[in-house]
Amino acid sequence: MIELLLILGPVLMLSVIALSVVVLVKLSKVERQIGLDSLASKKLKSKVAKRIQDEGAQILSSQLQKAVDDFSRDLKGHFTNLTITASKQSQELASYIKDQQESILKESQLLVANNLAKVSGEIESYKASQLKKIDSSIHTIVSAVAKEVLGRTISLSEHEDLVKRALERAKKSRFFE
Amino acid sequence: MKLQFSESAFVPFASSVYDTAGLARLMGEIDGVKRLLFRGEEGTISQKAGTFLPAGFGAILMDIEKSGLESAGDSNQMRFLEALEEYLGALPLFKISLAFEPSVTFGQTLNNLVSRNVGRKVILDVNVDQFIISGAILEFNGKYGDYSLAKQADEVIGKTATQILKN
Repeated sequence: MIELLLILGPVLMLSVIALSVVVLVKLSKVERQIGLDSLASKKLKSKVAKRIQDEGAQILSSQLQKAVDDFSRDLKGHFTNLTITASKQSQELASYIKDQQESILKESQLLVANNLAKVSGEIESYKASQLKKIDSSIHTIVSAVAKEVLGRTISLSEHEDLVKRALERAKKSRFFE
Repeated sequence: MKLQFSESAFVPFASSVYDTAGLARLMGEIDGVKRLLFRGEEGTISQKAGTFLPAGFGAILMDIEKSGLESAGDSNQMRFLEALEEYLGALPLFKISLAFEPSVTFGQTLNNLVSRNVGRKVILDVNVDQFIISGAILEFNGKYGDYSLAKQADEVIGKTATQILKN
């Protein structure tokens, strides 16, 4: 549209100038025919030139106004289309972002679940290995603890005696009542 | 079910067991004998069971039969066995934790000692926990009594286990 204005402006100007030239030529002929003197001719030319200039300016202004109106209308149309396109693209973008968010969320959840399972497995494995370690050392631990607590290891019959003594202590402390 | 039989008929059976494992075994044997009734045979339970009668259970049963404490007829015999199950099932449980697995002899001795102290026949629920080191932990009638060296051992156990895990 701007290009149109740039072309249309000079064309109109040239048209006005050409029209002025044609009118002046015609006037010269009329002058010659009616035999006007030099001063009268100058005044007449001046008036006619002014009239032509005013009318040219009016035509130019009117054409320019029309071009500006057309341009504004086209521009408005373009903006409307642009707004519609932008809105549509914005909706598509929002939808895409939502899809991406859901996808990322699902992937994150899966990742967390996988990691959790992995970590749980590692913990279980570690726990099992430590328990195995303890299990294999259970007799060592019991012996060590018994030795440290009692100061020595005790036989089965001593164990039985200690249980009987425990029952006696329970009786004295009125456990059975 | 109301007991219709003399308790003295059940006491020998109860005396033959001292712990939960023995009681479960005896209950299983009674259940097995119940299946041998109502087969159109006459006689005492031991006669009907014949060779299927478990040795220990059979010996006690035959003594009861000799004393005339067992009724005749399938229905009465079934009621007797059911009453016996009910009696045994109602024996109080006495939970005891020891540092070692008791022998049968020591289990019976322990049951006698505890039953005497409690004032009636009990069934021992024995738990073996080496970490109590010695003595016993008792649980009965909602009471708890620690007569072991478990507390003293706890601290040493923690140190020893940590040392083993570090190695």
